[in-house]
Amino acid sequence: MSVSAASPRRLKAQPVGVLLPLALVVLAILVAFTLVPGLIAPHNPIALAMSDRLKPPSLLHPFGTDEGGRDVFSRVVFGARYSLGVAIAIVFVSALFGVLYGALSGMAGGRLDNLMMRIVDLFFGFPALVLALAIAASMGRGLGSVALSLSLIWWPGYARLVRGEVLRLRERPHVEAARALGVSRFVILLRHIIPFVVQEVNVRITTDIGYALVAVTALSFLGLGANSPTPEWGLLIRDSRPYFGSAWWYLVFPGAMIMMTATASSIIGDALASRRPG
Amino acid sequence: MVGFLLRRLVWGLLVLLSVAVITFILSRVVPADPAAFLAGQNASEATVQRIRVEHGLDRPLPAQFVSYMAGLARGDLGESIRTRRSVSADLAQYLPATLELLFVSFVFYLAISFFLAALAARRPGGAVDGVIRLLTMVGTGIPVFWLGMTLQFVFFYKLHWLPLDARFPIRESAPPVVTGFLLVDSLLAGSLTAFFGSLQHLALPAATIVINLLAVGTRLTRAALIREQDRLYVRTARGKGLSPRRILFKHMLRNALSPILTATTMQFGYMISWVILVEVIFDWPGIGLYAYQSFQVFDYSPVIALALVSTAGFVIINLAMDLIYPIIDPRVQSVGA
Amino acid sequence: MIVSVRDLTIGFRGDDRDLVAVDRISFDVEEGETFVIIGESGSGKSLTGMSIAGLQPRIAFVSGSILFKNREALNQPDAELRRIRGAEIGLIYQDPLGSLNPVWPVGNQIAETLTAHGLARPAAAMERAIEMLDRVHIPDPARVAAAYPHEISGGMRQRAMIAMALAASPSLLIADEPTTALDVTIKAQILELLAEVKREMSLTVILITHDMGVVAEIADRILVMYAGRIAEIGSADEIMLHPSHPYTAALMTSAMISETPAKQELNAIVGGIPGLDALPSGCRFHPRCPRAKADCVTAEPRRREFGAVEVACFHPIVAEAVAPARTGRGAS
Repeated sequence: MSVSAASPRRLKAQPVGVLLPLALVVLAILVAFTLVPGLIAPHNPIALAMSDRLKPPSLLHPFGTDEGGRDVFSRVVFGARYSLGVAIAIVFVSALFGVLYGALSGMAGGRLDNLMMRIVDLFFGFPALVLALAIAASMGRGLGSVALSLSLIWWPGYARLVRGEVLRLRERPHVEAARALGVSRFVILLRHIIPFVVQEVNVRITTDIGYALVAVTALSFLGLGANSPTPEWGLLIRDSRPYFGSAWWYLVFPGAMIMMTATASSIIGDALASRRPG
Repeated sequence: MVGFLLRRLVWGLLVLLSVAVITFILSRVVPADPAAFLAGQNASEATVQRIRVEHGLDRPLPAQFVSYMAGLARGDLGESIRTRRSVSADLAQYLPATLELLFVSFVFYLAISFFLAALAARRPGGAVDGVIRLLTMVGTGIPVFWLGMTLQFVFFYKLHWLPLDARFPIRESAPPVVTGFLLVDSLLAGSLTAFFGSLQHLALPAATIVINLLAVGTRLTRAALIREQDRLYVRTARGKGLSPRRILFKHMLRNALSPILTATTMQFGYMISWVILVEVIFDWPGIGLYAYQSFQVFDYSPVIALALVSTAGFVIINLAMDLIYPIIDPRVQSVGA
Repeated sequence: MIVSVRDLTIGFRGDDRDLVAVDRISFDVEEGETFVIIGESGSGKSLTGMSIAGLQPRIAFVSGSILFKNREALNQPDAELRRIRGAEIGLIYQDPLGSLNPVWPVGNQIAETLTAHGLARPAAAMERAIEMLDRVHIPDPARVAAAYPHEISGGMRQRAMIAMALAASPSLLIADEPTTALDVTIKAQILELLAEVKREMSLTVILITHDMGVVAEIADRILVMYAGRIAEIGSADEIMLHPSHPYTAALMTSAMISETPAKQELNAIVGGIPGLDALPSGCRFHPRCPRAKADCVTAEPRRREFGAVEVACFHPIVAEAVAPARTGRGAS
């Protein structure tokens, strides 16, 4: 049945269209939290104030207080740079290494490519959190160790993605033309392939930041990452464990923050994905 | 076919070997003093020295590696300082709880995921479909540990419907251990109260895992089903006058199963990671909680052992999937790798 | 008449307007005949054929009337149509590999036609499936019944699909481009098979195709469709010998090129079928028609009797003494 290109199937408006502005607002808030927490947070995130412990949300303390009387909202604001900062660092480091690795593998082709990809496959066989636990045990706790172990887990995803793209783009006419002209493989990689790959990678980076954040907070929750009194979001939730049965705000707000950030990164990533050509 | 399986087997062994090497490096090479590492923080100098000798930690690395691998082959995963038992014995005791939790969660996930996806696929772009997509989008951002605690808050602290944690009601006596799976053992012992007690305690931890899996997996299941719906054989089935239910279950499901299972295998990787978090939150006596409690007191052999065991589990699951594929999709046999 | 179609309209709802793919067509199919609907892809022929069994795409809207055995079949509740499909109407399709379920053995799929309608229990249905496979001349039917679709050849798959469609002894077989995807030699075999089972099982066959060679082989009556409308309808002999509609004539000629190498002047039809959103005014064929005049652009030609056939054209071709070389007609 030939229906011409102006095919009239009724498409419902994509939900992303409505959510994207919300996601961008969240993004703006996070940027503010990360860069200028001092301007936003009304209280000191670290100083104890035992007379105010475990107070429910109020105008003075929008997210309530924790067991040390500290304002939860302020702690959340200051925590952004730890939780989100580490997540971003992890994703960028993994992406950097993964992209280089994948690009080289794809361009090399043949047996070297095979071997390099086998190594990548190997990494996919390891369960992430468990390995992170082992690495933290071995190398000591702290956000640095968390960053390292999560980077080790994340980079193969980028390697595979980029190598796939490189292989696909190698077959494109403009690349073949360049080869025929005797352009070196390295220059081909830089000029003809990487620009296209970068778009894909950007989409993945955006969505991965959300996932990395969840992973970082999970490790902190287990006690591998940050230490008290750092207001890292996962740590906040860990600290809330003895109290959250009655002090619900202690659990809800840090978690909601994580969730909102992860969802926003997912939405923005999807929006980027649908915008790229083809 | 056999060649294919052999290759997958070799690959699995390679993965295990790699993780063994990694754990070796993590436990013998990285720490400044491996003996102190294994002995734990509170060990006396004498204990540290004893461990150093026992595990041959003063020998050159290659020799250590050989004896490490030999030990693994024997099933020797070291000793837990906290429990003063061999780690293997500990794992054997705690493994059934973890397996029961994973198994029940996974079965529920498959059923619910398929049901939701079928609803969505019936009207692509419709109301149910939109809700599912929205939930999926939000759901992937939910941290599993936060979800677990939220469920505890709602169902225990607020509603008092379900227990807070642990695997079995404290005041009751657990059924005699036959399989280690409480649900099975209570039925074997003929005790319905035990069965329902176990079920109650299983509910929230399983729900946590199921919800997270749904968030990650329903989109894929839905996509797989929608793709099947457009296939020609579905039109043929309609042309034969088959009822929609029959078409869904007898025709589409089998065909959609292959891509669904591929996605599922990945989710197993997530599940293994989630299980630690869930066990910690719900005080569920599985290998995750065991490793975590050891970690807390700087008793590291269990942690290393967990890495090995869960990787091995993942490898086994992958191999099982490889075996299942040809059964589900007869075309796979001819394709091979 | 086993099938009676009146003012059948099939279309798709667009954002600002509807796109009509089949535009108020009417025709009858007599019991026991081989009725061929021919046209290029995009003519609406498949939609028409499929709609007789209620199998048009879900997003399409349909109006008009389709009487099957004097019962209204259009826009009936699915439960009603399900009883008819498979049991009273059998269907076969163009792509036998895609149209068969890849994960089930062939025999089970044939047997399912019977078990789903409660016509036989599983064991008996399986026996009948093997019987049917034998009937469509598949060697070693028991082995094929246990095989999967991808394990047997294309020709055998199409035969198996025929077996599946006919397992419940329907009265009508709708065949949607059954030979298009097959080799020339297999094509001939399948057509022969269709003629044979039609005879043996007293079937009525509605066959949809774009291939004139198929028409020549087995058609009793022909319906020529163009851009959703009927161009010409009548007995196969008449139409093939004396095509009245310019489009029909062009179809005949382009088919005959391969049969009579002497006719080297390419009478290829210029242009292509118009898209649904760019349908020409008046007679839809006029942009491509060598005989088009002014009135063809402004008014839609109504279907009328013209000699021994019915045609929708203002300037139909008057019969000449043309005796085209044709392949001999198979028993029909």
